[in-house]
Amino acid sequence: MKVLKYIALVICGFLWFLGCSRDTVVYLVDNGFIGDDFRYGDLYRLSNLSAYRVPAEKCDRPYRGAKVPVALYLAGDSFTEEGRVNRKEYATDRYFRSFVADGQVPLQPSDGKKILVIETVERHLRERFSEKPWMNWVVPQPAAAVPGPESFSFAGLYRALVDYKIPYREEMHESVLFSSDFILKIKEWKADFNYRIFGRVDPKVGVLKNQLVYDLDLAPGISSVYDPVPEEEISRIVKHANATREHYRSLGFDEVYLSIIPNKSSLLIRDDTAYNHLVERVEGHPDLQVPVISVWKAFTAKNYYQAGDSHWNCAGQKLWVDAVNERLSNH
Amino acid sequence: MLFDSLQFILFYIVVTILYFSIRHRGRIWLLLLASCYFYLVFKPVYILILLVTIVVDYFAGIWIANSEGRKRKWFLVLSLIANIGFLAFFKYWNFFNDNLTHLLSLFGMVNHLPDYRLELPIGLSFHTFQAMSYTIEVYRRKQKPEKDFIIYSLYVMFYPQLVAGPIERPQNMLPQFHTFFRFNWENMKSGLMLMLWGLFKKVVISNRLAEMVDYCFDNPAEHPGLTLLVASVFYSFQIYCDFSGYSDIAIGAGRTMGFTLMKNFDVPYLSKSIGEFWRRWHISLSTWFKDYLYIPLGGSREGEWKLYRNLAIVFLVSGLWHGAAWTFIIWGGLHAVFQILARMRDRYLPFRVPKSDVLSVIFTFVLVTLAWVFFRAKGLYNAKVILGKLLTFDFFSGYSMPYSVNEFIFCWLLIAALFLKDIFATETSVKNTPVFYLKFAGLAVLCYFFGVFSGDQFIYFQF
Repeated sequence: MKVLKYIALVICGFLWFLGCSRDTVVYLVDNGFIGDDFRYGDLYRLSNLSAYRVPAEKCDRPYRGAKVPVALYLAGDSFTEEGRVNRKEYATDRYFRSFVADGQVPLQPSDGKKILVIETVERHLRERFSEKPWMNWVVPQPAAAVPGPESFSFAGLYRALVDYKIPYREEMHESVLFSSDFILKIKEWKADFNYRIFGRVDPKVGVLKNQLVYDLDLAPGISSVYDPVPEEEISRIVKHANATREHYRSLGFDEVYLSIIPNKSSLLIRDDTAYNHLVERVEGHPDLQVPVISVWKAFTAKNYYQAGDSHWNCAGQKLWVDAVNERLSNH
Repeated sequence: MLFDSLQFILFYIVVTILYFSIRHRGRIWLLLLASCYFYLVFKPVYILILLVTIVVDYFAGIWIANSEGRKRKWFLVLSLIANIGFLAFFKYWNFFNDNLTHLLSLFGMVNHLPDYRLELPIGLSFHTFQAMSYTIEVYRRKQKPEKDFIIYSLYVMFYPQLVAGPIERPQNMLPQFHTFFRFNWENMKSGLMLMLWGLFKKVVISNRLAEMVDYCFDNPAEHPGLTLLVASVFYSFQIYCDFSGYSDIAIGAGRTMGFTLMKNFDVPYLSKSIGEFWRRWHISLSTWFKDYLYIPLGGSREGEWKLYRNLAIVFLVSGLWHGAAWTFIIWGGLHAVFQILARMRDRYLPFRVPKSDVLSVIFTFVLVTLAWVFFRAKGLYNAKVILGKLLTFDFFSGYSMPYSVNEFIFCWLLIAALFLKDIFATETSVKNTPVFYLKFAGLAVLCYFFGVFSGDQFIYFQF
């Protein structure tokens, strides 16, 4: 009994520690001690519906041709994050990327030709361009005088105390405890049962025409595919996109491209009268001066999305990467 | 730390195993440190408030006991000022300031008081009241001062009941902290079963009903009367399951370690009057107000009209205790009015009103539910909209809900099951029989499969 007690204590203590240490959990995942809980896709991870349990595709297709001397600056979202799109897939070795939503990113200097690609998923386009031009990348200011050691102040101490948080993330425990295939099976029983009996799925997920999509796309709000977008707002988005282009060209970029990745849900309801047709209206706007890297038309022809994921499959990804590489080669 | 989180489950297992592995003094330190950690998880900086009140009340208790005459009173006042001061500042400053601004603007004047927009420390009203009961009891010579600072700190901070009660009394808790409890399987089993039942009430019933309640109460003007009626009834059960679920987990967690916390709920929706409702709902708060406010005001001993006055004061203060908003004050006021009217009916009507137990229960439930509308509504305007539709019987202009029909039926089945459990299965046998383990495993499976793990806080945390 005593031995059992101490075993339980050690296990629970270790698990508790893991909840507080993201680095340890990442180490365990990277080294195969725990399964990656995104391995069946981000939407499956949330919903656990068995019908959508399909291993997420890993697409690693290095660029075969000769690399071009053009630098690619990519401000992208999760569609182009490292791990999904490998830097070797591009037709250049000079590649700089940051998350499109990150603010005040210092622009890394580079000689020679350079292009900027702003890639954003449709659901976040409005929040990124409706109100103002996108100017999240900034020229670093000359280094200011090195400040001395910070002097003590009660205001600083108070701020530090108020802002302090105990390091803990529930997702860490979820990953460690509940991401094995055996546990996923039990989660599927629960999810399937609740879906079949109550029509209930995880609140972050929706089922649209038998496809898993983000509920954000469907729920009322600025991200919704059903949210009416007045013509005036489309004009503003276009105006801000043009201003973005002018701004970064003035900073030395040879060209700035805009690439809007359609929501999975938009493609499913594109014939629905309630759909706001955001991508087509922006890309086809007569005043738009920013060249676009568009996948809309190709994506309407066939399914380029994964079953349990909100992102593209390898074919969809290749289509987009090829389009970017074509722009690189043409400079 | 939420009771329905993985973090709590691991925390609870580690603390409980350690608790039974060490000697008495170590246990006290362990529980105090664990309680600090439990509280720090919410918002670390607010532990400083607890620290200050603990120090003040600890010394105030000793000084009160060691002095006589007016000095005793002054030390009590010092303690009350410290406790009520924090409560008033953090909980009521914004409310007071907003109302003052509004009032001055009526006369074309400007309010120059600073606008702090303070965030309410979790559980402030609970631990403040528990701390106050200690110094008051020492002042009344019904409790000896606690000399051990660590034990006194634990009395205020004991993690199971730190943030949402039950609001304990020193006579019940302090002797228990001086006791060495041996591991007891019966306590462990009944405590765990109670915790599981509390979890069931929270994640299966309360969180599920909350979806309908939020759907309607967030935008009441958009919903027809029948929808609002169902949402109001659901809210009565949501708040009951949420709060009594929390109390069950707290009492259960304490019981597994050998502690006996006071009962906080006793099937309140079977009350036959509002007075009875308050003897069954949030018992630890009702008795607190009775002992420290109602009776000192004179209770029912000084004539009928003073009794009405006392009831009005107690319930208005109770409303204000729950939240710094007019809706809470009206909620408290309504409960006072209901009770005063009931007493006037019994006293002044020349005939006896025929009473039926079933009708009394239903009538009491209706009154409580109508009052809850103020408690839950986002502002007076929304409460007015909801009550307007309910009281004009606007029940035939359609119906909408955020559920499937199956789930809607399931909600009602859960409410029925709740009543059956509360009436017929008040105590679960903890004998070492397969039936106990089957019940335990079955309840755990139900919690998992039917649980809505939305990560929502317990409603009473905001108080």
